This record gives sequence, C-alpha cells and structure tokens, in this order.
Amino acid sequence: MSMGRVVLADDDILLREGLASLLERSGYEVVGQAGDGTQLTDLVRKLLPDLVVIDIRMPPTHSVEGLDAARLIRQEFPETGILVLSAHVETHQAMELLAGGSRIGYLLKSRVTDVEEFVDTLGRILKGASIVDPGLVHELVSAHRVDDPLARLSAREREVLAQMAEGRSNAGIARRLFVSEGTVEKHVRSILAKLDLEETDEDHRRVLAVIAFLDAH
Amino acid sequence: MSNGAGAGKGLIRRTVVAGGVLALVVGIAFTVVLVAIGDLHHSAVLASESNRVLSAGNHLERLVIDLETGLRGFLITGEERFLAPWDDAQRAFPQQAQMFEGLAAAHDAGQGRRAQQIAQAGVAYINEYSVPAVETARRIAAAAPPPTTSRLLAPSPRLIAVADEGKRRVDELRRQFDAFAGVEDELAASRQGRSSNAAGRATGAATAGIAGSVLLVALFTDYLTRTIVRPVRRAASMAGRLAGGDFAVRLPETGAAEIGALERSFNSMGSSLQTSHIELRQLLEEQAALRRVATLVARAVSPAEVFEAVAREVARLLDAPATGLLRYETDRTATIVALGGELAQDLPIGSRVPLEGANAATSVMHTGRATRVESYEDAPGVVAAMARRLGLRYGVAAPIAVEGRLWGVIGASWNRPGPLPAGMEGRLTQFTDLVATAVANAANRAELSASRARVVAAADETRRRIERDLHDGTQQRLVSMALDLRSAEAAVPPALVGLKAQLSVVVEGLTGTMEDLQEISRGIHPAILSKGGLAAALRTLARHASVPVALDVPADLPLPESVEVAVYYLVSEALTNVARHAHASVMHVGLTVDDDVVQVCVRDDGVGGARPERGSGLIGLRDRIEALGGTIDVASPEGQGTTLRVKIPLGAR
Ligand SMILES: Nc1ncnc2c1ncn2[C@@H]1O[C@H](COP(=O)(O)OP(=O)(O)OP(=O)(O)O)[C@@H](O)[C@H]1O
Ligand SMILES: [Mg+2]
Repeated sequence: MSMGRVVLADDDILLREGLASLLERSGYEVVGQAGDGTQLTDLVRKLLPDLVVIDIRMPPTHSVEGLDAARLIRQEFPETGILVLSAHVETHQAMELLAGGSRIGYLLKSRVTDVEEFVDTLGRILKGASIVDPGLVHELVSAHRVDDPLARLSAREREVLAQMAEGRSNAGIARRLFVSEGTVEKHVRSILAKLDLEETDEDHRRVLAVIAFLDAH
Repeated sequence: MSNGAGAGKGLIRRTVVAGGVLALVVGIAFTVVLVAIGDLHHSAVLASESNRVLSAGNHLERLVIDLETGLRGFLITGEERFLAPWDDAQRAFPQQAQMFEGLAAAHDAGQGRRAQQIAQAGVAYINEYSVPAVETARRIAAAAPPPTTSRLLAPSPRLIAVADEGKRRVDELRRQFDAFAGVEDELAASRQGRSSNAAGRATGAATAGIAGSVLLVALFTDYLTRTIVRPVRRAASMAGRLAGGDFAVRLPETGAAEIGALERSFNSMGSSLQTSHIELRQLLEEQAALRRVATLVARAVSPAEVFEAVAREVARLLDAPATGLLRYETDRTATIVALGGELAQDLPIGSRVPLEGANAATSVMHTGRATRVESYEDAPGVVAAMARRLGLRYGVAAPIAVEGRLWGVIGASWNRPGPLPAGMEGRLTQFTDLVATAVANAANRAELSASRARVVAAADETRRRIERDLHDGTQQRLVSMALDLRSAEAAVPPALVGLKAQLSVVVEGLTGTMEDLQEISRGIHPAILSKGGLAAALRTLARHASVPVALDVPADLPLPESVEVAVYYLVSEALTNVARHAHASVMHVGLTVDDDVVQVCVRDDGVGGARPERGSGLIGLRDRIEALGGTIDVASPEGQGTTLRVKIPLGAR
C-alpha cells in the first residue's frame, strides 16, 4: 500500500531520478516524470496523482514555469497536493502559491536532502497542510525592522509564530515545541491579537495571513 | 542738387560780391558828395574873385569920378588945387585899369572884354578929353586977367561946354561900370544857383548812399541769416539729436553752396552713423543669439532642442519667415529636423524630402558649400515647391559638417520682394559650427552612454549567467549528488553503520555548501525582479540587511527592467556599504516617480564621509545610472550620515 501516487517534474533528469528513487524508497509510488510544464499537466490529467513535485524553473524560459503549472493543476484538480521546489525562495512566490488553497508546499530544493523532514512534509501536504520553507520563514521572522511589530511578542510567541508561518497546525506546533496544544492555542490567540490578525480555522489561511504580515512589515 | 545756381557759386564769392556792391554804392555816394563839395569850393573861389573884380572896378570908377570932379572944379574955378586929385587919378588910372582888366579877364572872358572896353574908354577919356581940357583951360587962363571972384562966379561959356562934355563922357563910363557890375551880379547869381544845386546833390547823394548802404546791409544780413545762420543752427540741433542717438535725423538739403555741402555731409554722416549703428546692433544681436545657442550646446541639451533653437534664432536674426535644418540621409533624401519662422510653423518635422534637381539642399550636398537661390520661381524639386507654396521668393543654405563629414544643411528663405540681400550665407554659416558641435557632442555622449550601457549590460549578463549556472548547474548537481548519496546510504546494509553515518555526514556537508551557494548567489543577480517586481525584491534585500530599513517604495511600479535593476543594485550597494562602513542604526529608502523621472533617495544615519573614488561600488553605480541617462549625487558630510540621490529619466530610453 503506497503512501501516495506522485508525478515529478524537473528538467534535470539526474535530479529527477534521484528524487524518484528517494520517494520510492520512502513508500511513494512515482507514477510519472515530466521534463516541463506541458508534459506535467498532460501527465496529471492522464494519471490523476495524489501529489505533484514541481521544480519552479523549467523549460522553455527557466523562470517560473513551475508556478504556472501548479496554478493550472490547482484549477483543474483541486484535490491534488502540490509541492513546488525552488533554487531560492521568495515570499511573493510563497504567497502566490498559498493563495491557491491548502495542500500546497513551497520549499528550497536543497531541503530534499534531509529525507526525513522532506518525507514528513510530503505527508503533511497530503493531509491538507500548507507549508512554507523554514529558511524563508526564518528570514521573515528574524529580519531587522523599523518599529518592529514583532517586538511586542515574547520569545516563545516568536517561536510559535515561526511554526505557524511554516504551516504547522496547533497540534504540530505543540509536538514540535513539546508543549500542550492548549498552550499553543493560547499563544496563537495572543499573537494574532498582538499582530492584529484575524483568527481562522483554516490552516492555510493562517499561514498566508502570517506570511503576508511578515512580508509587509 | 536742388539749386544748381548756388552750387557753382561759393559762399565766399557771394560774400565778396555782396561786399563789393555795398562798397560801390557807398563809393558812388561819396564821389557824388566829393564832386559837389568841389563845385561848392569852386563857386566860393569865383565869388571872391568876383568881389575882387568888382572892388577893382569900383576903385577904377572912383578914379574916373576923381578925374571928372577934379577937372570940373578946375574948370569952374580955374584953381590949380582942384587938379591935385585929378593928377593922382590920372597917374593911378593906367595901373588900376590894367589890374581891373587882368582880374576881369582871368575871371570871365566876357567880363574881360567889357573891362578892356571900360579901360580903353577911360584912357580915351583921359587922353582925348581930360588932358586937352586942362590944357585948354590953362591956355584960357593965361590969356585972361587974373582970376577974380567975379570970374569964379562967371566962367566962360566955352568952359562950361567943355565941362558938360566931360560930364557926358563920365556918365557914359559909369554906365559901362554899372553894366559891368550888373553882368557880374548876374554871373554871381547864376554861380550861386549852381553851387546850391551842388550842395543839394551832395546832400541827396549822401542820403541815398547811407540809405542804400543800410538797405544793403539789412538785405545782406537777412541773406546771411537765411543761408548760413539758420541752416547752421539747424545742423547744430540735428547734430545734438544725432549725438543723443537719434540716427534717423536728416537735414533738408536745400542750403546754398557750402551750407548745402554741410547739409549733405551731415546727412551722409548721419546715414553712415546709422549704418554702423545698425551693423553694431546686428552684430550684438548675432553675438547674443550665438551665445544663447552655445549655452544650450554647453548644457548638453538634446540636439533636437539645439536644432530648434538655431532655426528660431536664425529666423529672428535674419528676419527670415522660414528657416529649416535638414539632415542628409544615405538614400538621397534629407530629414527635416527643425523649422523656424512664422511661415514654417506647421511643416512636418521629421518628414523626409527627396534631394533632386538643383535645389539648395542638393547643391550644398554636392558642393559642400553655402549657396544662394535667387529665385524659387523656376527652381526644381520638392523643397522649392514647398517654398513657393509658402510664398517664399529666395533663400540661402549652408552646409553643416560634423567632424569633417557633411551632416546636413541649414537654410533661410524670405518672402519679401527685391533681390536676396548680400552676406546672408556668412551670417547663416556662423551657426553651423554650433549645430555641428551639438551633433558631435550628442553623438559622443550617446556613444559614451551606449558604451557604458554596453558595459553594464555585459556585466549584468555575466551575472545572470553565473547565477543561472550556480542554480541550474552547480546547485542542481549538488542536490542530485546528495540524493545519490542518500540512495547509497539507504542501500548500505544495516551492518555497515559507520559507512551509513559517514555518508550522512557527507550529505550534510553538501547541504551546508548549498546554503553557502544560496547566500553567494543572492547578491549576484536579482533574478527575483522578473517575478515579484522591484518592491518585493527591495523588501527581500531589506530583510537581509544588517540594520533596519525603512522602505517607502510604492508597489506595482511599471518601471523598465533596466531601471529596476539599477535601483536594485543601488539599494543593494548602499546596504552593503552601510553594513561595512556606516555604523548606522537605520536606513531609509524612498522612491517616487513623477514627470517621467524616477527619484530614489537612500539615506543612512551613519558616520558619513563616503568617498566614491576609494572603492568601486559607488563608481559602478554611477556608471550604471548614467548609462540610463540618470544622475547620482552622493552627499556624505563627515559624521552626518550618507545620502545617495538618484534620478533616472523614463523618457525615450
Ligand atoms: N554609507 C557609508 N557610510 C560611510 N562611509 C561610506 C559609506 N559608503 C561608502 N563609504 C566610504 O566610501 C568609500 C567608497 O565606497 P564604495 O562603495 O565605492 O567602495 P567600497 O564599499 O569600499 O568597496 P566596493 O567596491 O566593494 O563597494 C568606502 O570605502 C567607504 O570608506
Ligand atoms: Mg561598497
């Protein structure tokens, strides 16, 4: 019983193969591989995978073809999980992806080398989470700001904020920080109040709101 | 000249003639007076002569009377003593008669004859009567008794007869004397008449002379006033106005002789002054116009602006209703690049005209020299036809050579009747050098900024390639290597725990390398720009900064990529410098777009004292920004932070 049916898209065959074998080893079924966006969407239409892993830079222009493909797939197959890998991560791309809804992840490509973490991320996506690269989140949270709104947060609240930004649920955060879920809930409410953000039940909305806030300030 | 008569006779001659007439009139008057005086004098001489003649006559008459009375006494008394005066008179008579005769003859011929008759009659009386009568009486007395009283009382009748005879004769003589005196009186009367006439004439002549002289002097004075004084005074006042700058004043050239010449030379002086004044003003205007254009050229405004200014200045300076600048193209056409003058207002700038026929532009192209078109009437070609349509009659054109190569032509045309004024080509040519300099400068500037832009673009391209190589090549390799190692790691039998761990360490090392690579590639090329826009890219930059950055950059700016890249590098370099040199606590980045100019202000509150020449960062920025036609100003007073102000035009680039 496979963890999920996956289609990979990357123009670099070596890397694609490496990734495929990693996924296979980790219990996923790689049902198709594509070298560009068009191939990818064709394959997705044909194979209806649970998850697609997309390199953002692909032929023909090597710019943001992956994002375009992701948008298309999201429109046609909203249930399909999407993980976009990028050579470098940027907030606006993250936000663009997150705006598409849940089951979406955005990671630095080098994250695939940490197999455990990577596989865990895939699992969370399939379960409906929205995930943002922790490096990007770190950059956002630790940036120097003039009149820093984060200065109002306690150190613990900052940790919780970073976890929220990465796309974790309260339960996930509680597990990560070794605290009770109730404590996390309390922190989350406090943070949202201090940052003047609206509470929301949908995790991916929370991620988007937090990222947008951090980007704008 | 208007008065041909006056032109021939000089003023001196006129004055001499007038003086001569005056002298003649006065001379005649005096001559008449002198003659009259002479006459008067002569009359006076004659009158005294007449007196002397008359007195001589009287004296002689008295002698005759003495003779007669003496004789008569003697005859009556017979006494000898009565003969004493008779004797004396008889003796004196001849001399006196001679004198009388001489005086009368000298005085008047007729009177002379009469005096002679009188003298002869007197002599005859003495000789024929008086002396014989005495002798007779003596003889009678000698024969008769001695005289007694009775005898006295009773003379002889014969004697009485003799005495009567004597009386008759004397009466006759005296009648002659009276006649003489009468004639003399008549003579004196007529002389008196003549001399009073002469006196009258003298008075008349003197009066006439004085009156004539006064009249002449008056006329001459009037003449002098009219012909000399007034024109001279007029000339003086005109000279004053001339000196006061009224170069248009002229005198009527009606004066005579030298005055006419004076007026004519005054007028010609006036017109030559006016000419030189006009020339001077022209020169000054020309200099001012050239200076204005030169200032534009020096300020390195766009050639189009210089062309337009030249066309306008030339139109004004040469009073030409149509001027134009044309650039020669390679296909035997020329492009209209600027027009000036009121008639050329709405011709199409930028349009092409064919160079055909023998029109001015073509002729300048062939000869490389300035040319004149005396009439557009029959001139061939489109340009001439255009000129005719605008009512233009003639024109000039001069070549514009840029660095030795014929670049274009400048022309001016007129619609005034009359021939094409001389020297217009020369005045036109003065502007061509400035146009050429502007063109050459612009070309050099364009070349310079193009080469700068090429340098910047080449550098950017290299950065882009390196960034791509790093991400698509190196990073990709590293990731797939890491994946392979993970595969290997997974394939290692559980027994070889050490190898597994080793492989894992290698993968972690690779991951660290990838992170380093990430960090390095971030600064190499802002690939993000093409995706998220400038504002997002600057936010990302700011988040990596060592100090807080206050960004004031509007989102969604529609800026050209080259400008975005320039601004990105500007902020990036500023951030790097702040981290390295400034010891600042905050940095501000402001960006505004108005009037097609992007203005960026990057400011920190650090130590200041930035010196672009000490590094390559700020100089590189200058190259990049100036390549876009922009400017960068670095203000960095010691201890007061550093401010970079950048302006980039969004115009035609
Ligand atoms: N924000 C700043 N505050 C204070 N000093 C500055 C600042 N920016 C530049 N400087 C001074 O001006 C010099 C020139 O700066 P520039 O950026 O051109 O060169 P650099 O930073 O030294 O070297 P690089 O070529 O790597 O940029 C610097 O060496 C530094 O001394
Ligand atoms: Mg520097």
